[in-house]
Amino acid sequence: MCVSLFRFPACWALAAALTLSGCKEAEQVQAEHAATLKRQAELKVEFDGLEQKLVDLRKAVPPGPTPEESARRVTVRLQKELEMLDQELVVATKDHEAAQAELKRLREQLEKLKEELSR
Amino acid sequence: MKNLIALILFASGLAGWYFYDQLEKMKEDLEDSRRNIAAYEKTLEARRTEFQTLVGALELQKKTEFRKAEIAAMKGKAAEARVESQKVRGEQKQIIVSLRQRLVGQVLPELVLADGRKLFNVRISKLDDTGLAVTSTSGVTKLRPAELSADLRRRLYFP
Repeated sequence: MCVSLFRFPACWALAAALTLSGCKEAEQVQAEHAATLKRQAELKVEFDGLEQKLVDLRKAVPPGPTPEESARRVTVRLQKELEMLDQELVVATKDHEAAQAELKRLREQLEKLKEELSR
Repeated sequence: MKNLIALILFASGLAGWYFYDQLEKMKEDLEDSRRNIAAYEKTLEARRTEFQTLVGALELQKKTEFRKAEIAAMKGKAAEARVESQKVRGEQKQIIVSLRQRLVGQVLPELVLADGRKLFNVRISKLDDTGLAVTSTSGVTKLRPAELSADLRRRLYFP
């Protein structure tokens, strides 16, 4: 009976349609697969680049339980240090200004004394 | 003829099954790739965060070094100003010695001290940082800068 069905052109057309549809789906899957492979390769390149940079950067910070923790600790320590240094700079600037003011006052006094001496 | 059609049908079925199996495998591979990408992206995100934190830490380190250099420069300038001040003080001292020498021997008709005492016909015989020695109608008197009035202290170059 099955064989006799294929005597009708409609059956051939159906079979052909099914085959075409399968081929189209296969093409689509293949294209998607190629795209994912490309994306995977891109990610790998980025990952390798980052890893290379991280190797150098990790050397610059002291080791910790994890690299992230180590970086976080260094950041916190440096932030505190920077705050202290900012305050120290304010004190040093004031000290410098006071020393400059004193020098200016002494120079003015000296000028007056020189004038008196030349009289 | 019937056998040929049956053979074609069998071959088509076999080919169909083969292609269907291949298609399913491709779909599985695609799913695997998608899962891999998701895992990759997750790891990459962690690395990006670590990278940002490390770069931030290094920038902070640079800032800290720069701040230290700024402080050192400021301290250096302050020290230079103090050294210069010391030099100026030395010069002032020399000029004051010369100016005081001019005053030695001068006669003042009246000298009013800080406590209100008055000395008359005063002649300055000695004048230095420790004070002055004068001869007056009351005799020889040694006066410390603290004993002098503010105006006189200024005129005799005492601080």
